[in-house]
Amino acid sequence: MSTKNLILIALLALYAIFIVYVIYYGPYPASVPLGDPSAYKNTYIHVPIAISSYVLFTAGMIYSLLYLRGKNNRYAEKSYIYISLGLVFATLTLVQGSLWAKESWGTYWNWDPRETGVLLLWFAYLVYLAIRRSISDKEKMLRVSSAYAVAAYIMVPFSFALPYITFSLHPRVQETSQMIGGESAILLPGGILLGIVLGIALAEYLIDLRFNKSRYTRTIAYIGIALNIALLLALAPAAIPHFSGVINTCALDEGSYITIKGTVIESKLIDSSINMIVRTEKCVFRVIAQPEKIPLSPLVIVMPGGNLTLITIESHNIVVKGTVNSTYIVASEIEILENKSVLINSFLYSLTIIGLMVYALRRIGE
Amino acid sequence: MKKSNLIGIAGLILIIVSIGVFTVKTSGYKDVDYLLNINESREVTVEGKVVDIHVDFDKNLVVFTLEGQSGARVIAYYKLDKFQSEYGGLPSHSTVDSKMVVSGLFIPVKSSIYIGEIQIRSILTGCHKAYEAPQVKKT
Repeated sequence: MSTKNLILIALLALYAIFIVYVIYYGPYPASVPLGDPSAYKNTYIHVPIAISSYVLFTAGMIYSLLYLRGKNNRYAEKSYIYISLGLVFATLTLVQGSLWAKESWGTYWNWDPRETGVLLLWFAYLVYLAIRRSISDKEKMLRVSSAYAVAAYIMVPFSFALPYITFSLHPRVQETSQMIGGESAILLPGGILLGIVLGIALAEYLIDLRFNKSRYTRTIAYIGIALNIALLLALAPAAIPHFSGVINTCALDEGSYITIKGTVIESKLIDSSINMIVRTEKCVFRVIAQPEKIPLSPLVIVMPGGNLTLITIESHNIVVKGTVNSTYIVASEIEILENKSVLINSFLYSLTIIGLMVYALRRIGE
Repeated sequence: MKKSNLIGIAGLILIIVSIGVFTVKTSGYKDVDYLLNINESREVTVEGKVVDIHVDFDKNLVVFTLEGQSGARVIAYYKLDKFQSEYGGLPSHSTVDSKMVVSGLFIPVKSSIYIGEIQIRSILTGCHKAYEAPQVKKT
């Protein structure tokens, strides 16, 4: 097996481990303007794929330029593969971004300048694919589509620069000071680098598939599928609590042991206990827990400015198991649920890679 | 590279950038100041700086005061129970001083303090403040 293929397998495995780590242990902002704070783990899932798509489009543009200079058809075909994979990643970026936006910005689509810019970028490169399919003369098709690929590339810097030109819900790099400090200083740039190299390695694999179809390409496809099925299985324990049964009644029987699932809408530290108001689908419960029962660190923080103390469990989705004591629940176990958008976005990444590998297997079989 | 190719690429870049600029300009958010020119009720989407948040439990409302670049202020309110069910808890104080985008029905009001009210249909808030908050992780 070639070094290139071994690198691809290593990258697929590393990226799967990276996703599992950030989902279970990744740090995120303690306080956010809207929704569940843990939804911001999407930063580790969504941003690397988005930047990887930009890099793939850049490589596609360079190969198009090389084709236009030397008329070597191989460059035009490489450009086509890089741009096609860039489009797959850009599609994933748009879908992942929309799911996160629903949680943290309020709606799936906001016509935010960066969102709009990436959508235009996506359409611009769809036109590239249409051009390739609509011209029957091969030489003309390669020339026109390559020239168009170079021109369409302008949307990459344009969409990236929009938050710097106009107000955008997307932050500028300098506004993410905490997110690129502490452990995130390694995780986020590491994830971005990994995403970029993985994107390039996948494109090179697809190029190999087109020109060589070596006997190892099939093995790699199977390993890629297996690794991503393993990723799905590793994430399953985080998804299962979302489907677990909970009580449907608002009535509390004194002394009974119950399980509720809901969102912490208020929390206070009273006499060294955490008093929480938890809203479930149908009602609101008061829950009292000892700090050590809450699996978050730190649990109490002073916000920048020093005038606000925050119990970090606030706004999280949790499952509480405990005993009913007159009008409140004494928690014996608290589980913090991973945000649905983070889980779905991770599943989507995994399914995309599985899809690419199934496509590869079909191409090998042709 | 042929001169005709270069001219073609330059022309396409010009067209694509023009479409991009036009789309972003027409779909971007208007400042609260834009409401100064509106004299009748209408659906709007505006951005402004959050200068105050107030929760009115009796009226079941979350009330935001948004300020435009010229200092013009508008009151924007949202049902508290709807806010809680959609976004989890009460509005976070980390939102104060940050920019916020809201969509809803604007009703002009003749007042020296506020230029009107917005019955919020949806909150499209920014997340910039979130990235400045201290970090937390599961144990």
